[in-house]
Amino acid sequence: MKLVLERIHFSYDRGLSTERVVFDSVSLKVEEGELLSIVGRTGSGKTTLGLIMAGLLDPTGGRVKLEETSQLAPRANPRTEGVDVAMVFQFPESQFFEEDVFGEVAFGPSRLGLRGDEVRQRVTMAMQKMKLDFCALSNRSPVSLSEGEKRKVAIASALACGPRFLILDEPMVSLDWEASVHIFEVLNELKQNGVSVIVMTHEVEDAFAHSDRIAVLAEGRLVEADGLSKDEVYLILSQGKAGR
Amino acid sequence: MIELSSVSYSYPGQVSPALREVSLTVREGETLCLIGRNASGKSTLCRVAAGLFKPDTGSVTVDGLSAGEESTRFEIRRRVGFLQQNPESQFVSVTVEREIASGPENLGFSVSETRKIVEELLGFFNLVELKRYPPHALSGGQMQKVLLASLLAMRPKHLILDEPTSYLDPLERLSVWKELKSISGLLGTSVVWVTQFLNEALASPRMLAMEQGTVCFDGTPAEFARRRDVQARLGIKSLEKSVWRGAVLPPAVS
Repeated sequence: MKLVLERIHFSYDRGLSTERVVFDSVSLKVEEGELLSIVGRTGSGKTTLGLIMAGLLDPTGGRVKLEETSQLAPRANPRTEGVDVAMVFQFPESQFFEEDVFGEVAFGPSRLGLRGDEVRQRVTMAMQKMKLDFCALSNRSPVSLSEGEKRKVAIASALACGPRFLILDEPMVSLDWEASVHIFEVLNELKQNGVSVIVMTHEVEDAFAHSDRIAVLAEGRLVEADGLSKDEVYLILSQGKAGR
Repeated sequence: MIELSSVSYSYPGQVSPALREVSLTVREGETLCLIGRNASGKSTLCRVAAGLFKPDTGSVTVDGLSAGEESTRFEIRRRVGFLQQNPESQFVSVTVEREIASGPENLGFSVSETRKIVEELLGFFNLVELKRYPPHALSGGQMQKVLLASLLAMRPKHLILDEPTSYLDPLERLSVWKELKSISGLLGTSVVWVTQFLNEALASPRMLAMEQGTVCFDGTPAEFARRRDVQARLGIKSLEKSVWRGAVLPPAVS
């Protein structure tokens, strides 16, 4: 399955005097099993693009679609195995619903129709992957955790949904060094299992160190960084000129 | 001066204390960076030092005033600017310029003085085009800049900043870091800066590292660079590799 964006246009406050065009004619294809980083400066539109890719925001022009390919075997039980696209928000608290961590991570699997032991298995697996202490944290309120722990719970919640495409908006914010390295190990493992991972980030170093592909979002345009050096990407970002 | 003396604090319902007998002095005009693993107690230390949490044991004073008391609360709020980690939770106004103006207005600054301060800070933080926008509609990094501007607008004596640049890109982090250093030098403001970016910590004159609610290191960056044992406890396998994470432009570009 591919995630395809075709000539996406988006503006906030459309028709008002405060209208801001975030991007104009952005196109992108995300292949199965790749780790794509979309790098951009503060306020460049990364979160907006992530929300559009996740289907949480409708573009004001163009379209987003999922195209079937023959590379991955179809899901045996598509309804319960997992979702197509899951997103981890920039502010983890904004995606918390439940009163405790277990409930939070179980939210997705339970909405897929899974019950009892299957849910528990998914929660345990996801928390273990994120190195979250199941016994110490399951009964705690997600909002009582440290910011780094909240972010790990948010990622675990998305993993528990078994997505084909995982979009993460600034997933490294507030994580310590060990946790940051570990997150990329988890993302690489997902990628090897055929999950497509899209990381929205302003950390160019992380993008170059861990991604299969990098795209640069600047001045409302998205340009592939194929063949570009790190210095050239920094220059695009500092000058704000992408593909003009 | 901010002084913590044998401070311990536990969150209600939690078995392990978040802070264990922490003692710390932040001198007038001093800048120090606080680092540590997730859940090591950094944010709790910030809240206690800012007078938002009353410690279970020990004492906290800000310029000689006992923190956590009703009678000193306003004066301490006036002296200590505190930035929380999650920018979304701190906004009080409906536009960016109102947000920046709210502090000086509440402190009784004149209209002309407030206007001047707001314009200066909008310009410095590159927020002029966004001044009429609601803060919650901004990006994470833009929100952090608005909050920093709001704190600076009040001209506090002490700044306690919990990961103030985490949502900013490397270029803006450098810019904010430089400006805050220069402002604090000029005004004699003390700055406690929590960060996960080692390059920021290593650029500050004093570093504090926390582990499981205690201070496990307090010294200069040069001393920290020699302490492989402390680095290992903090999960830093390679200081050289960790420094580049989050660092700004390579020399060739800058």
